[in-house]
This record gives sequence, structure tokens and C-alpha cells, in this order.
Amino acid sequence: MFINVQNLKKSYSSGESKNEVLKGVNLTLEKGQIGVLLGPSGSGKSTLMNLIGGIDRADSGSIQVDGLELTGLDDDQLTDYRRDAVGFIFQFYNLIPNLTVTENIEVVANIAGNPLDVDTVLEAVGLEAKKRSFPRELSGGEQQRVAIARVIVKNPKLLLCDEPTGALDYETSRGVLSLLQKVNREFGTSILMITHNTAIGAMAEVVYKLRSGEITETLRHEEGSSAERIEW
Amino acid sequence: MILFKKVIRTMLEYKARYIGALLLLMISSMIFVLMTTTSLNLDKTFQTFSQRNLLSDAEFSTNTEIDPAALGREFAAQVELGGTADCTVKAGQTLRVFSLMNTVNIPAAQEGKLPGDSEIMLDRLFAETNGYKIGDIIRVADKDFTVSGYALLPNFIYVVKSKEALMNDPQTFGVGVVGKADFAALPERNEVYALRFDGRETIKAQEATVKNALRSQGVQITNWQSTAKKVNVSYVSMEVGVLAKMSAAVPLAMLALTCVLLGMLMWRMIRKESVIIGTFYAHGYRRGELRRHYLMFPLLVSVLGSVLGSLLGLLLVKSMFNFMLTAFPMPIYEMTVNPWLMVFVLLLPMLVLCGSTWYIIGGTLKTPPAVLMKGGDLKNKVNFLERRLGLERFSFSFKFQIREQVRSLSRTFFLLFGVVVATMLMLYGLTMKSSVDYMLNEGVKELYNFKYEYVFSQEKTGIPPAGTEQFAAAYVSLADNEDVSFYVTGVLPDTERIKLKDTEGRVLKPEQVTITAPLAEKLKLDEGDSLKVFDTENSQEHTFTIEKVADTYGGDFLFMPLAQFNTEFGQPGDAYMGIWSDEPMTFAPGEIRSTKSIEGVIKGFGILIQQMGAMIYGLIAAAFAISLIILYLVTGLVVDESRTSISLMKVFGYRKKEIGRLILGSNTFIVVAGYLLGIPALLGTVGALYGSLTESLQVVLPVKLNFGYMLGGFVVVMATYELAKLMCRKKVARIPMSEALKAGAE
Repeated sequence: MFINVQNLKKSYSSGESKNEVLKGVNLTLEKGQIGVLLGPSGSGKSTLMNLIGGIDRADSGSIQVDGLELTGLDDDQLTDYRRDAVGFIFQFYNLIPNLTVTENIEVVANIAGNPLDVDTVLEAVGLEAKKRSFPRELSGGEQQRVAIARVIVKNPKLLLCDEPTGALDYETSRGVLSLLQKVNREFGTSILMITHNTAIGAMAEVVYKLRSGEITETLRHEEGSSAERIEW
Repeated sequence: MILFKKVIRTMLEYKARYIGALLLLMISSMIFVLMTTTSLNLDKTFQTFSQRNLLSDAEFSTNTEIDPAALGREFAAQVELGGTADCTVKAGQTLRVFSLMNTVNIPAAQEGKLPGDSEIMLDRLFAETNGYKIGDIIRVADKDFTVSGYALLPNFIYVVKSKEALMNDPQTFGVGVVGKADFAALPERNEVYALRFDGRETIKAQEATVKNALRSQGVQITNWQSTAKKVNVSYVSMEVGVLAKMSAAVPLAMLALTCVLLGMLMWRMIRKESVIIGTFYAHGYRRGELRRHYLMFPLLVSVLGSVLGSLLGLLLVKSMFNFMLTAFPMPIYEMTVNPWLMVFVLLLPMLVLCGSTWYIIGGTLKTPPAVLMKGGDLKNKVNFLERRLGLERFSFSFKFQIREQVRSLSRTFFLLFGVVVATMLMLYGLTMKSSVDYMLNEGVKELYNFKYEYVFSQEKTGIPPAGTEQFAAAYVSLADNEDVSFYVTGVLPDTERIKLKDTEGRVLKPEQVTITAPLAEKLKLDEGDSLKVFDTENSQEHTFTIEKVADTYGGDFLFMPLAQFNTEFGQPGDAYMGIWSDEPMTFAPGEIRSTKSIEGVIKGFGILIQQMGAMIYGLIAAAFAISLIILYLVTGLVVDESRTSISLMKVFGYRKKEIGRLILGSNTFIVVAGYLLGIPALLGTVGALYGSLTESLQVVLPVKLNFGYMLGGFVVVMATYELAKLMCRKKVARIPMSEALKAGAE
């Protein structure tokens, strides 16, 4: 089991009120699989992803990623975990505006133990012609490609994607999803993706539906569909 | 009113930035008010003292007695015969005793009373240093005098033995005043006529008329000292000038810093608030109303800063003025404050800060509301420099830090300018100390190879006493500029008493006409140039051709072989004016006109260097405070503007140290560059200041900055930078990773 989440609970306090965001979530994902988390706003998708990504700490329960128990790690160990094992892709790309495309990728390559060649990665995402451009000069789809390149340059074991197509149009979204699928297949990178779009679930091996901090349904596919064939 | 609440809340939210701006403006206003008011009062006190106590326009000696009253009537002037006598009180201690004057150069009693018979007034510093109180007895020239009070002399305000000495050592030199009858009984008196013209215009021309008239009557003027060139008086106006210059330069630099800082803050705020501004427009707010709202920020900072700074300045004026009066003892008159100065202090920052803000917000307020509500059209624009930088071949860390600098040019300029100003402030005092150290060690100590100099009242001929070496000197002025004076000195061509070296450091014997480097610099002369001067004693003109330049900062001299000097000045071949000796000597009464102890001169330098200590430490502390404010503010701004990047880096697994190095350390280049630029800027400024002081100072100070001080200054600046980074480290630590996750930018 690559990801094994057991009875995971998380709540946030604000003054006297306490908001239970995750109420004992169980989730598993095999190595090299694509998993999708589906659910409405406030269902706990992002919180679950943050806990698996080592950005936040759980109240109780267990999270194991590639055999490493995250709940017992201190801040420095969590930093090392994020540094070596995980890559993040965000809905709004989160590129650093005053760095060029190459430099944005180097932000991650700079701390990676064994990074891939930046130019090779740029070629893989089809952006070698834009390597000297600044994010502002790119389209949304191109920016998300840079964000994907930034992650794959360190060849992480796990890719966590938070609404990666949320700000893109249909055609561009399909291109980005295809690229993610390509990364998954070529590098064997496990991917866990948050989305509102149920159609995207078709490309995943496992789909978890969340509502109010609980997994209400789990769908498993033998093999995910090609991203090129997904329509919505 | 609601919008005003927003102003206050915004300021409180970013208090460090606004407090920083306020502090810079406060320091600027305080220095301006303090220095200008002190300089104003010093000048006013000097003018009042000069007028009330009838400061002479010139003092002179003649070879024959003249009738002061007749001379006064002839030239519409007050003339009185007085004089000085240098008396030994203890071994190595000289008291210059002045005759009590009644019509010109009238002394005042700072405490006690004017001297009667067998009474003496002493200068306060000498009396206090040597333990004489009013009523005590002091034995001067084998006679007991009762100390009647502390003397203030209009013609000897800055107590210093000679024009070569920069500073007085009250343990070895002081002044006293005795009644005319007591003065007449003193040995080795130097009788001097003091002259003050009734007409207060064209003093120089009136002096020339008197000199010419006396010469035409066959009177030989053995010494003529214009008060404008007498260091004991001219140092006061020099200090007034220095204070006036400093009071303009330093606060203006600080005001410019505040201006850039506030401009930056306003620019960032407007950018950040473009959505709010658009919303205000959408709700029907007019441009004028919004402009007034944003002008409230610089208005509050400028009014608060300048009022608080001015008040602080006014509070400190008295202490600074009193400190000045210890160096330049004068009577205390009523202190004045120029009301227009206060208006100026309040209005200038207000106009400059509000004006620059008006300009900055103008463009944004013209943008259509729909554009503003989308975040404006300025968001994340890439500037020309960022676009043109070719950094591909460098490491990521280097590229990142350079990009951080060019991202905000105004911020980088502010930091650079701030570090330059702080460096200049910090090293200003140390440069002065280095210059004085250099002049002492490479100048005085190197140049003079004797301990005592004795100048005779009359030329002598023949062989000088055993163990001594003879020389001759004439005090000359430039033929075309009477204000520039120096000594032409005749020495033995193979002298060992005067040590000269050429620009390559090789020994240079004064076998030819040799000019010292500072004088050559001052007169813009080089080898082969000719120089036309006139003898101040007899107005005879002489022309010399410079044959060598000696690299020494011991003073302004033109050396030549003694025989050549004697021929030029019409003296017998074996004549000499004075002797240099390693041992103290005694002479018959009246034989000696002046003596100089090199040890005394060196001691004077020592006291000057010692007294510089307080100024040096004060300036270092001020520079430390200013650079800390600037570095903290800029580092804070970098952190604030890089919040998303910092958060993102945390998500990517960057360690605290790595983030610190990339973000907080990104200013290192600019801090180092600012320091390196500050040094030539300072040396240029100090050079210009020295140049403007040359005339009143009578010496040319070399502009030097010891390498050790440069290194020390660098360590202080870098330590301040590290402290500022340390203070901002918490800020970095507080940025949550969730900020990157929520970011909707780009």
C-alpha cells in the first residue's frame, strides 16, 4: 500500500466553536495509481490532501506514505518528506511572478536530491520555447504546465493536485490532464487529485467521494480512461 | 471620518514602516533645528560679543612707537596699545598674559570681575584644569596675582597657542588678563596695537590704507595680523560655517530617505488597495476625496515627525550651545529661535512628502474603476531590468537574490541610498580622525626632527649655538590673493632637522625650491610653475619657480636653501631668523619673539583626537540606528512582498535556513554595494568640506580613511544587517504554508 490513511480526524477551533473537518477518514492508494477526491466545498478534500502532503497535522489517526508514518514526524522531518517525496500542483499555479519559467522550475530543482535536467523537463511539458518568459506572459494552461514541470523535475513519489484544471477552459484542461497522466505512466508517479469535476474521475483507478468530512463512496476502476477521451 | 479611521488602522497594521518613516523624519528635523539654531546663536553671540566688546579688525607691531590716538583720528578708528607676554607658570606651562584693554578688544568676565592691581583673570579651562579658583594666588613672572575672575577675550575666543596648533592643551597653555601697570612690569612683552575702524565696510581696503600710510611715514610694520585671518577668532566663523553646512546636508539626506520610504509605502498601498479604490469609485466617491484620503498618510507622518523632531531639537539646543561655548568661550546672551526656520521645518517635509505621494497616487486614481476592481493593471508587471537580465549561467540562489533586488527598484534604491548615508555618517568622524592621525604621524612627526623652535626678535648672523641649526622664514601672501598666506622657509640644504620625501617616498633634501604637497594642492601648482608672493611685513614682491614637490602633510611651506632665501629677501649671507634645537634653551629678555615645542603641537593633536571620540561614537550610534531602521524596514518589505513565495518554499520543503538565505539574504549585495559606494562619497564630501575650511583652518587636512576603520565600519554595517535579518526571521517563521494554498495569484 503506497498511501494508507486510517481513521483520520481533524478539527479546527475558532473561539468557542469547533469545526470537525475530517471525521475518521480511511483511504488507500497503490503505488503508481491515480486517485481522485470528489466532493463539494467544505467536504474536507483540501484538509485531507494537506495532511497527506505533510503541510498540516492530524488530531488523530494514521497516515502512511510509502511506509513512512507521517503523524509521528516533527517539523524538520515533515520538511524533508515534502522536499523528497511529494510534489504539489495548485489550482492557481502559484508560480513566482518575478522568476522566469526556467527559474520557477529551478526553485524545486535547487533543493531536490537528484533532480532531472530542467531543459529535458521543459521539453517534456512542451515549453522549451518559453523558458525565458515570465509567468505573466503565459496562458493559464502554459502556467499550469510550468507548475507540473516544477514538480516533476524532482521526480517525486507522490503528486498532490488541488483542482489542477479549476481555472482552465475545457481544451486546456484536457491537455493538462493528459500531461499528468503521461507523468504518471512514464515516471510511475502516484497522483492524488482534488476536483469538483466528476468526469475527471474516469481517468483515476480510485475515486473517493467526500461529504462533510467522511468518505461516502469509493469507486475503483481496473484502469483509468485516457484523459484525451474524457468529456464534460 | 470613516476613511480617517482607515488611515489610523492601516498605520497601526504596518506600524514598523510608519514608525520608521516617522523616526527618520524626526532625526532629520531634530538635526536641522539643533544645528541651525546652535549655529545661529553661535554667530549671533559672536557678532554681539564683537560689537559690544569692540573686536579689533587688525593687530600690528611696529619697530617704533606710534601715537594711537593720532592714528585713530587719521583713519576714523579706535586704536589702543596693548600686548601679550608669554610667561612660564610651571615648567612646560605657558600663560599668555594680555594687557587689559579699554577701547578695543575689551575683555569680559565670565565669572568674577575684571582685574585690578596685582589681580589676574584666567581662561576658565586653564584655571579649572590647573586648580585655580577665583581668589586663589597664581605666581606669574615672579609676582603673585590674585585670580579675580574668568576671562573672555573677543580677540582670543578660541584658545590655541599658534596657528599651527589645532587644539589647546590647558595643562600647558592658557591665557590671562592683567591691568596695564602690571602688564608693563612683565618681561618679554610683545607690544601690539589693536585697531578697529569706525566704518564697518571695506575693512580690507581700510587696512591697506593704514599699512601704506605707516610705511610712507617710515614706520616698519614688523607684524600685521588681520582678525579675519587670526585662528583664535576665525575658528568661530569656521564652526558656524561647518554647522550651517552640516545642518543642511545631513537632514536633507534624511528627508530624501523618508521621501523615498513613504513613496514606496504609498505605491505599495495603492497597488494593494486598487480593488478598494475601484469599489470606492463604484460607490460614488470622487477622485478628490480619495486623493485627500491617501494624502492623509504623508501629512500625518510629516507633521508628527517634524513637530516632534523640532521639539526635541529645541530641547537639545541649549546643551549643544553650552558645549560650543566651552570650546569658544563667549558671554551668554539671550538665545533666539528663528520662527521662519520652524515654519520651514514643518512645511518642507509636508510639501515634499505630500507632493511625491500626490504624484504617485495620481496615475492610479485615473485608472477606470472596472480595471481597478480587477486588481489594477500594475499587478506583477515585469520591469525592463528584470526582462533584460541574462542570468542563465549563474546558480539558482544567485539568480533568485538578484531577481529579488531588481523586482522593486525603488526598494533597492532606498536600501542603497540608506546604506550610503549610514556609511557616510558612520565613517565621517573616523575619516576626520584618520586625517588628523595621518597629519600627525606622516606630517608633523615625519617632518620635524627637533623638539624646540625659537624665533628671534631680530635677525642674527654668524654661527648658531652649538647643537642647534639655523633657519629663516618669511610669512608671505599670494600676490593676487591676500587671503592665502604661508611661510617661505630658508633651511640648510643638507638639513637633518626637516625631513622631506618625494611622492615616491624617497628622501628629498631641500637643495632646490621645494613646495609641500598640501600647499601645491591648494595653489594648484606643480614642478616648473612659478609663484608670485608678497612679504606681509614689507609688501615686497618675490617670484619663485617650483622645482620640487615634497609629499608631506606637516603644513603649508615653501622650502629653499638658506643662502638663496637670504639673497631673495635681501639679508646677509649668514643671516638667520631662528634656530631648531633638541634641548630647551634660555635667552636674554626680549631676544625671542616666539617658541614652539613640537611635543606641545603633538599633544594638541592628541587632545583633538581624544575630543573627537565623543563625536565619533555618537555618529556611529546614529548611523547604527539609521541603518537598523532602514535595513529592518527593507528586509520587512522583502518578507511581506515574498509571503507567497516563502509559503510556497515551505510547501516545497525548503528549510528555514535556506529560506533565510534566499529571502532575507537577498539584500546582501546591495548592503555591500552601499557600503562600498559610501566610502568614495564620504571621501569626496569630506574633501570638499576640508577645502572650504582651508582658509579658516590655516592647514590643509589630507582626506584619509584608515583601512582598519573601513574594515571596522564594514563589520558594524554587516552586524546591523544581521540584526535586522534576525528581527525579521520571526516574521518569516510566522508565514503559514496555507497562504500558498489559498493564493489566487498568477
